[in-house]
Amino acid sequence: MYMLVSQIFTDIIASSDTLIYIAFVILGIILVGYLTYVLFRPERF
Amino acid sequence: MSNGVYSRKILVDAFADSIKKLSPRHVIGNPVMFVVEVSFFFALILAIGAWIFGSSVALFNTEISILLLLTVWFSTFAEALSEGRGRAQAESLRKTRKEVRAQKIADDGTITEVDSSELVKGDRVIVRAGDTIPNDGDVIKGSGSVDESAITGESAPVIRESGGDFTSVTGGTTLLSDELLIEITANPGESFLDKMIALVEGATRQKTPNELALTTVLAGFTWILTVIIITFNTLGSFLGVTSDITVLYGLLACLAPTTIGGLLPAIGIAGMDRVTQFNVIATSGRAVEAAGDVNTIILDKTGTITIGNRLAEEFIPLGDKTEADVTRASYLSSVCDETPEGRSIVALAQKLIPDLTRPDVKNVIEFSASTKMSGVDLADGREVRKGAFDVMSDYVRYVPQGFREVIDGIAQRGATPLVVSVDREPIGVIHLKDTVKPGMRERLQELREMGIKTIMVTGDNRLTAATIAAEAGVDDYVAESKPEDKIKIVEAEQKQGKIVAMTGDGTNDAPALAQADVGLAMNSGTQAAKEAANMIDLDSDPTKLIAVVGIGKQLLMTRGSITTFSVVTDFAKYFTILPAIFAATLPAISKLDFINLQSPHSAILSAVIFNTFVILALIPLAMRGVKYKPKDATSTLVRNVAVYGIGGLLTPFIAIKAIDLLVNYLHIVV
Repeated sequence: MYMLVSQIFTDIIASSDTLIYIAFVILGIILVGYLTYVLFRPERF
Repeated sequence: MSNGVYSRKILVDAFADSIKKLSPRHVIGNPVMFVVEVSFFFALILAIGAWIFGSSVALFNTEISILLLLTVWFSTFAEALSEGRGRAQAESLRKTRKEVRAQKIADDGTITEVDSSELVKGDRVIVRAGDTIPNDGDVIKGSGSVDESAITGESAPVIRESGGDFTSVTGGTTLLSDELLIEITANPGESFLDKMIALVEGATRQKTPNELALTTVLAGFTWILTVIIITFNTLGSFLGVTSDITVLYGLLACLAPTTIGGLLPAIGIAGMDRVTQFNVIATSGRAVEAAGDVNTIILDKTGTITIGNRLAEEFIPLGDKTEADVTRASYLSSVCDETPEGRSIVALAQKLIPDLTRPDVKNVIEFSASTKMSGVDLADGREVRKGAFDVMSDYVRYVPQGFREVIDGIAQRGATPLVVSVDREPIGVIHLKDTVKPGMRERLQELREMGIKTIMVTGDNRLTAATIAAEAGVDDYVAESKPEDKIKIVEAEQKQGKIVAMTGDGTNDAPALAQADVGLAMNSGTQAAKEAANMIDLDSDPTKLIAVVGIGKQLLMTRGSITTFSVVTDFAKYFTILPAIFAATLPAISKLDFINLQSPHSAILSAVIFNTFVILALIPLAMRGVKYKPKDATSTLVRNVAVYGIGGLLTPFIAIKAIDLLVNYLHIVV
């Protein structure tokens, strides 16, 4: 288990593209959350 | 009060303001643009990283991030430009709000000089020729010509007088002649000018229901596209299709409805601004939108459809009475009548019998819309009255022979008959002449072509109403109406699901003005009418309602046309850039790549350039509004679909291909 987690982190750190992609997806999810809020509360915007 | 659309000062101010509006705290109010701005920040970080690590896509990442920023900036610039025009109007209004000295009259008649800011509601002031009117008020004595150009921009002076419909004066305007006794109707800081400045500046602008609905639709579109973009590489990896993150952001900006998303606030503000340029102040954007949806317009006969200043034309005796009898009785009945009609009766009587002397009056009976009668009780005991036929026929002791024929004869000519009596004995009939305004028939015809029903309301009898209605070409009329009937007409139309517009100026009109979807009050009208209405016409021209409906329709059409253009260009962009991006990995899709763009990066860059600059190109249209001609809904729809729908479908193919050739020629794409 430790080896697996360690390998994942090593891979992530080794690959800046993966890090950037994770940041891209997280930011995208935040935007989707914001847009969902706009859909239900348009009068607040 | 009008300003140039693109005056240098407005442009410079809008430039500075649009930079401030780039703050995410402001942009978060516009969902489409907020997503683009967040994309810009991320793309910028990627571009900086690419330059640091010497990546081959550094130039491309930089170009995309700059274009994303420009997309948001053009949107904030459009908004700032439309707001700037409103602020310029508010500024010119503010200049008219100056401190002046006022001649205040105390209860005991003594006059003291005070600052205009010290005046409160109920104070009485005397204003002489050349003086600035210190605050809003009603003329309670005298008449004079007033220069209202500071408020309306109209240089021709207007008459303001006690009695009648032209009693209201506005602070900051100048009395040009005579002397007026004015009762102040507003406390300091609550004047009409103060309210107008706040409205024009749009500090408290709320999104209209249509804007909210469109915002929801646009946010929905963007929601779907954002989900597609963030899952694109994960799902695409199964097909061996993945893309750079910068390309995905470019794709998101291109496919999201950025054109309408970017111009939506500017279209709304510019719509209200166009109303203001017509010298109409709308209390909300909702009122302007409602004007665009109007199905029924209720118009007053006198002053709206007809010229309004009804003048005495002749005196017709009844029974065994002579023309001199009816002339004398008419003079006596109107000697204390301050209305234009009353003055014209006095003038005609004095012209026919020059030696008429003013009687001793014991009691003045003011005209009211419900009694439809006015007159005087003389010191010698005689009761002199004049009024509409329906009430006078009940009032007089007997109905002389030929009475009905005389009344009908006048009414059939579209004029108004007024019966005159002395001690309840009918003496004769006053013929008040009124004529339909020139061009009114054509304007009402335009409304009919737009599918709008017109209803004329008048206190006159049926014959007069029918004659004027036929002459002007209204769809329906209500004769012998009392002021309270107006609200019933409004409610009856609204019960049928109609959107109703009406004009009014009297306190009696206030409930109907409040009930109507679009209530246009005249600036010369009473304070109650102005507070009940959702629009105020500074020029006090009731026919302006027709123009307001046109502006409302233009606002809705502009928003609809740019939305159509935006959505259709997005659709066209799918077929322009997606085949170019996927042609290498999915050869089957290359059949759709019929404009043959040079490379995936070139396709994205060209599409983002088009997407960005189309916002800039459409700013003048958003500000000016689409061309509007009074036509029926179907032909207007067909025309707009042809121009903005088909135009929006073809433009991206041509423009993106041209940009693609240019960026490759200039070698600014990897």
